[in-house]
Amino acid sequence: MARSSGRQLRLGVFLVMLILAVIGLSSCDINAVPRQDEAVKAAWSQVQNQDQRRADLIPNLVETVQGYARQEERVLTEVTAARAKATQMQVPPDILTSPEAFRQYEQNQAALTGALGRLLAISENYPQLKSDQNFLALQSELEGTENRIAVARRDYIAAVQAYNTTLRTIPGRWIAALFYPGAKVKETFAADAAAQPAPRVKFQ
Amino acid sequence: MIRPAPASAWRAAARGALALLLWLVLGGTGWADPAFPALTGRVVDEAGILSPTTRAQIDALSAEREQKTGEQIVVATVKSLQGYTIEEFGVGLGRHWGIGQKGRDNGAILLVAPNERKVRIEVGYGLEDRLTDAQSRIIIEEVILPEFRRGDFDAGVRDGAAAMLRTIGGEAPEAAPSAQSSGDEDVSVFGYPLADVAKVIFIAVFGAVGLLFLAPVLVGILGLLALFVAIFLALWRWRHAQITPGHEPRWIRFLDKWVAAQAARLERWTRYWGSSSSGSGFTSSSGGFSGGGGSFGGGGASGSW
Repeated sequence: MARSSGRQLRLGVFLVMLILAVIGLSSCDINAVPRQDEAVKAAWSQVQNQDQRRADLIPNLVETVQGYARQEERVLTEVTAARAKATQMQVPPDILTSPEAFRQYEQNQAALTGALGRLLAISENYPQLKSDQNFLALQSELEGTENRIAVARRDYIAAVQAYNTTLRTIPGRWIAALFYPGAKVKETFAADAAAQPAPRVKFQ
Repeated sequence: MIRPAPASAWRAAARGALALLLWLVLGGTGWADPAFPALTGRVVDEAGILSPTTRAQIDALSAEREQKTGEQIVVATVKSLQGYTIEEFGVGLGRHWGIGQKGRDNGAILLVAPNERKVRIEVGYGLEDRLTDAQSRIIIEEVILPEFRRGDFDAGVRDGAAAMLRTIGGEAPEAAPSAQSSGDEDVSVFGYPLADVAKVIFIAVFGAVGLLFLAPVLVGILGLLALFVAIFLALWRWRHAQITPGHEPRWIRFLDKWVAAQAARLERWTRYWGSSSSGSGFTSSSGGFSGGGGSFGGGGASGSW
């Protein structure tokens, strides 16, 4: 009995030491910086994909609305111009670490969101447009895409948060300084930009 | 001579250390999620608005489809959206449950929140081109909402789910990977339960592989730690052979569970890296339904009534 508990004691001490070793090693995870960097890049390309998808829907949408509401020229040109500005922006390769470029991108997209909201709002005044099957399909694709953008931005914000936290807190900071001197804190969306309501449309 | 600490102190210490370890390994992921209901089947009727017949009908339809194509279509009704929009709740729920197969993301959820009077079809990445936002809207507007407005949740949900299945339709070319084979229960090797032996071997192999590649150091370490615990458990069983299985002290059972959880975790990770070891069976699927690890990106449509 005594021998057995002595053995258990030794096993126990061994286990506790192993656990401490794991804690020590796992808290200085050497690969955290590049791994989280990749996660941020993946999340960012998803944001760009979805923004592009929205931009691709717009020409069709504008054309359909024009068919019923030619006189709304101002709103229509506004949407087209905002789309042009957003899609023609030269996205620099270092956009994620360049605050000006990132704000510019965010502002262009926000302007497009605003213009699209106004376009959908005026479409409420045209009952024939509202019952056009093509318009309804485009509109739901647009709403779905706005939602995808919101999801992609939320994922991006979470990924950047993890990455920036690693770079700014203690073990990660030392590891980055030693092994990844080029790693820089990344830009992220303002929280309210991600929570921007998608254009709301009621079907009655 | 060292006086052995009382067993209870040991137990407490061990439990504390394990809890700390688990917290370190598992802790701190994701943003604050709502409290999602448990995935108890293909139809999760938390709000209690569906009749048993409807549930059974949908379950049969969905199970048949999953067998044929691997696509997972699930119906969920919730008591509350807990202050989230139905879009946020839907994508969170889909990811939390992991509906659809991993990598193919071929899952979809019909989510109903009767108290908020909201309905949503949430579509996984892999089905977005076959169940488009526009088609989802048509199903909601033309199939589901008319029934809901008349107060007939059963008909709305049943016809809605059927319409989703039809739209997704068109048999996917490859057959679904077969379900996990049932675990052998009481087979033993030299007196050890087979499950234990399999666990030890499995963990030893993957622990070694993990250490070899040192990809994330954690896997190797975790594998080794789990291996040691598994060996310890086997030794303990051998020394206490007189204890009938199932009557071990609580901490032994806790370690058992922990080892099994680590084994499952290692299997997931290693599978994730592409060394596709398909369904090695001691995760004992008890015939229940579970998500395949699919992901969602916000596709689909919503409506309200």
